[in-house]
Amino acid sequence: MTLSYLVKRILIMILTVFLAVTLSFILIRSLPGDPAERYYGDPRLPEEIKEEIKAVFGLDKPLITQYFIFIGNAFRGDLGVSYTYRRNVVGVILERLPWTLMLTVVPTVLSMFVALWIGTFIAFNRGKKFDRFMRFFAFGLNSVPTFWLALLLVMGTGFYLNIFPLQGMFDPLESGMARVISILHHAALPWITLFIVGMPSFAIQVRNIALNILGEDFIITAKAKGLREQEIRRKHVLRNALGPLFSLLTLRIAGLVGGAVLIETIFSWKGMGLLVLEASKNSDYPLLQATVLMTIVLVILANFLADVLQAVFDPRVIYT
Amino acid sequence: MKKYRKVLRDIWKAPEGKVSLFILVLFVFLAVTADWISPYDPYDITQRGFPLEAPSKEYPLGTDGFGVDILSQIIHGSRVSLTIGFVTGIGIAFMGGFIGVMAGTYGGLADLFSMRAVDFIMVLPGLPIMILLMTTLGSSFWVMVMIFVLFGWASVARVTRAIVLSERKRGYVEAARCAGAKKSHILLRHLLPATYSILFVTAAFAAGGSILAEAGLAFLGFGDPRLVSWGKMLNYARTYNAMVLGAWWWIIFPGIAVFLTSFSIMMLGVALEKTFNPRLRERDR
Amino acid sequence: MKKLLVLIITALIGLTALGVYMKAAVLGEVRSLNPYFINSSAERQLIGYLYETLMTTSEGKAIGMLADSWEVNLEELYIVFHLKDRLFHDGSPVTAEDVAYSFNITVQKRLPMGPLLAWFSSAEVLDEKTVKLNFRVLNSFVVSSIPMAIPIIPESVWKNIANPMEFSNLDNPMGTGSLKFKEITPQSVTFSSNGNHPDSPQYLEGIVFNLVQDETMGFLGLIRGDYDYIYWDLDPSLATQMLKDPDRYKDLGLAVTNGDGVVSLLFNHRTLPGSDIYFRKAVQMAIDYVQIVGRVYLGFADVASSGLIPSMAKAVFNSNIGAASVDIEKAKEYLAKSSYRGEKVRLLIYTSKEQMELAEYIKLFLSKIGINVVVDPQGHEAVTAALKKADFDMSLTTYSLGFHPEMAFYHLHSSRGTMQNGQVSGFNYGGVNIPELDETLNIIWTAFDEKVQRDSFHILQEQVREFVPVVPICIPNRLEAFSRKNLDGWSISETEGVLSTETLKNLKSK
Repeated sequence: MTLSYLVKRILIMILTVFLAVTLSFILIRSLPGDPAERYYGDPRLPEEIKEEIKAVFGLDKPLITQYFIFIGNAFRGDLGVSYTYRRNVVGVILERLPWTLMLTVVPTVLSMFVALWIGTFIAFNRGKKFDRFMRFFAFGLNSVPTFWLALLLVMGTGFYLNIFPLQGMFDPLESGMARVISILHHAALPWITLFIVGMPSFAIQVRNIALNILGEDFIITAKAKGLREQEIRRKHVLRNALGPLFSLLTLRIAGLVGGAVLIETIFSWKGMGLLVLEASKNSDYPLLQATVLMTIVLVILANFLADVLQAVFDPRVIYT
Repeated sequence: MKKYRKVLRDIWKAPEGKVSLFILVLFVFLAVTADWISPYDPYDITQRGFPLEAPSKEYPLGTDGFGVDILSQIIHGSRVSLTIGFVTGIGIAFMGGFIGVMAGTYGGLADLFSMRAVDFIMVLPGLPIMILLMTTLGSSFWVMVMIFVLFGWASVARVTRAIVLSERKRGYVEAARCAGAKKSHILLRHLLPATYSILFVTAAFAAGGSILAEAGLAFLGFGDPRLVSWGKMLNYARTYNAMVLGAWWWIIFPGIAVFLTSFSIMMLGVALEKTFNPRLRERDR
Repeated sequence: MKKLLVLIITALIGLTALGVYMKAAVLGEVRSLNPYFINSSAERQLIGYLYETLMTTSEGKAIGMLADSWEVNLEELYIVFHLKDRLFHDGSPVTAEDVAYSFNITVQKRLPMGPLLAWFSSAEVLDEKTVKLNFRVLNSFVVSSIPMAIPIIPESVWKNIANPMEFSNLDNPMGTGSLKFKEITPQSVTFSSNGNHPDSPQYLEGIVFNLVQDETMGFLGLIRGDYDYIYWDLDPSLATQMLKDPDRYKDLGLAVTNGDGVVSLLFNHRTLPGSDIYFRKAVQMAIDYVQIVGRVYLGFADVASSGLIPSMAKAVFNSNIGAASVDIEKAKEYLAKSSYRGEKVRLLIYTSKEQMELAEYIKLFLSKIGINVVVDPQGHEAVTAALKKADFDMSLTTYSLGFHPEMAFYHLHSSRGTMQNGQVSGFNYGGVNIPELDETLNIIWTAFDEKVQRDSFHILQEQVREFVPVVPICIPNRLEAFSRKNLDGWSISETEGVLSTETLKNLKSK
């Protein structure tokens, strides 16, 4: 990987973020309704207060000036004050972010390990019954609405079997170590759901990566040397699969962070996804805008990371 | 014409093609004839039964918490899902195909801008932005279609452009150009037809995906409030206590309907892919 | 080592034995505890435990809360309040300074306390426990509303807040209420009992408010014993289920009490057909109220009196009015007299289950006499916006008149329905403009004499029945569910429901 490639990627990334910020500014400003009224919490606000609020937020300036103020603030990490939380939106979001990451990272990493194992196995047994079954299963899962599956799981294990809590992130009456255990207990079912939904297709992706590698020369050489299959798998396939695998991992986590709304809704998991939904329901536009922007930035970062990881781990790929 | 007949026959030959065509035709039939075959009219409150009746002779799939027949809702809901799938599938194929072919054929600034836009859209997290858009634009059926197309065209454009670029390098295009054919002629006669197969396949996948996405958005409460849809049924089932009331039929059946339509359309996509691209058959044997 | 372990264990046991929390579920989010900016019912409920006002109502009568007694001077437009000996949560006494500060800050910082502030001018300290409030306008309504609306906050905390509009107040929201703040997490808020308060829970350590996303999960938690009480009205279908299958819900209790909200059909009086009294009367006669109560509320509601004021407001309710009942023939007669000729009438509603169902039935009933209703379901925001712009033909709304019947003034007086810059200036979205009603409302608004007030309320209800400015439909019952699994001591009060001050005081672990 060359330096110029890195610089180019970083520039593109910044440009993308910039574009996203601009688009969200246009979208939010084109909304009907007066931001000052929303900030005040009552549309029947006295005219002089309206002017005052507008002056404080620069709403009385021309739109283009407002835009530059907004851009400047956004890159400084100031995305405005939430109409409902009555504080800076970035603070609100940063409180929620760890919960979403916790919800998504754990099952994805877990499914990576299992997928690695199953994926290489079916790659070596390509075309056999288990391979076909896994592929069909993974394909079928693509069409299962995740929220529906989650709903059925909550109903079955949470309500009828009483194994897992129905919703929430922990029992607020527990503290210290007991709270950690409580969090794990609450996270188990969403983790299981995400694992069930994500693992099979991950395994198929691993399989395809492994098949590509298996098709390459050095494996054939290795086979010719008479190494046992187990060793081939471990040594060559795993090492060469690492780059694409890591980039897959980051992309999947990014995808889950973006799509966490549904799963968080069902498990009442107070992460970024529920925040988006909540902001939408309350027409808290600064919060809505900031949460979506932060998600976009996260996903763009993850994409960048995925590219870099791929490049670092795969010396054969030359990036210019 | 003959060529298409062959494609159809090939699809029919593949086992997944047969199953998916069967399911799909069934749902299309339900959607078209909904007004005649559905046992009750879910939009008419005078035709409601008692709430939460378990499946019986009178109500084959039971009734929901309002007393509306579930089967009738599924039949009428198929209209929303299939229309969403159909319209977005076509919309994405058209928009993505058009932009991809243009970018591939003319190159230059058009290419640069459209591919940057593709890059941009492909990294955007769909669901939060859809929620942002539906909050600001309102949640009607056509807003939803528009958003799906806006998010879906990018990957199609990228693939089409790649195909056009590789076709251009082929001998016959060079030959035609040397023979003095106009660019638009080459585009229409040679480049465009080369992309048809991939457009069909992507349209099928996009249609399946948009059916799922519609269900998800409707489940979150962003569906068109005037229409009966499967996602909205699930939203109501969750909001109005189907779980507590033990009304499993209110949750299970709409989910199965979403799964079956989306699955059959995607299977159709796979079958299409195989007939168009025999090499794939080789690999995934 | 062993000793230490024993010590820790006994300490742990001691801690757990200290007291029991009531585990409650509240619907929605608690984003801030700023008493001036309340955005959800959950916040309203919680802030109600933390902060207190000078006065409150009990069984329809004004009583003192932080105020011990008060004297009203109508000529010179002031009220003098003598304070009780109460403490803030940090142990410092509530002084006249604090009270004056609480009132003055609303003016100085111009906090959104609605139209109330137009009548209030300033507060001054007379002595440590006496405060004088000066007004621009003073009448019975002002006396009973402003001292009940302004929360009393500690000056020591709030004087450091530069901009109260950007104050989430989550670090240490300090008031005088029966519960004090302990902890907030993304999914719960914990309050502990304030021992200094006479109404604080005696046996409970406090209340844990679990923030629940949807009603189903809350109710399931109640069944499992995760929660002892849920802070929202149960869906009628669940209430029915509970009554039908008592064995399955044997730990649960259901309290059905009178509601204070009157679900009503609104007309836009600014245009036809809403401005046509015969049209309104035809609508009134066409609706089958009994069927609505049965189908939409599964019986958990009462048909509203056609005088609008609910029976819960005992002091002013006119029992001679009675409920309207369906009469298709008469409705058709009225419609024939009206200028309505089959135009589309747009019924604007929220996309909630209750309103969607109500709207469908209203559409059905009105279609029977030939009125062509188009239901227009919209999101919460959009409906509020449309109402404020008077952009509707008919709409559904709930008037909370049980505790505050005088609010009728705001909903029906013509001055509250005038248009300014394209927006309705008050809560009279329909623009009701009936001179006879205005006259009665004016008397109610300024009357101090209890008899005069009651008499004019009786006249008002006759007039509402006569002119049909709105069609009162029904009063849904309050349906509270609680669990006896962990706690004992629940009692049901006719006006306060099950979670009354009495209950909170007496709740103890089993």
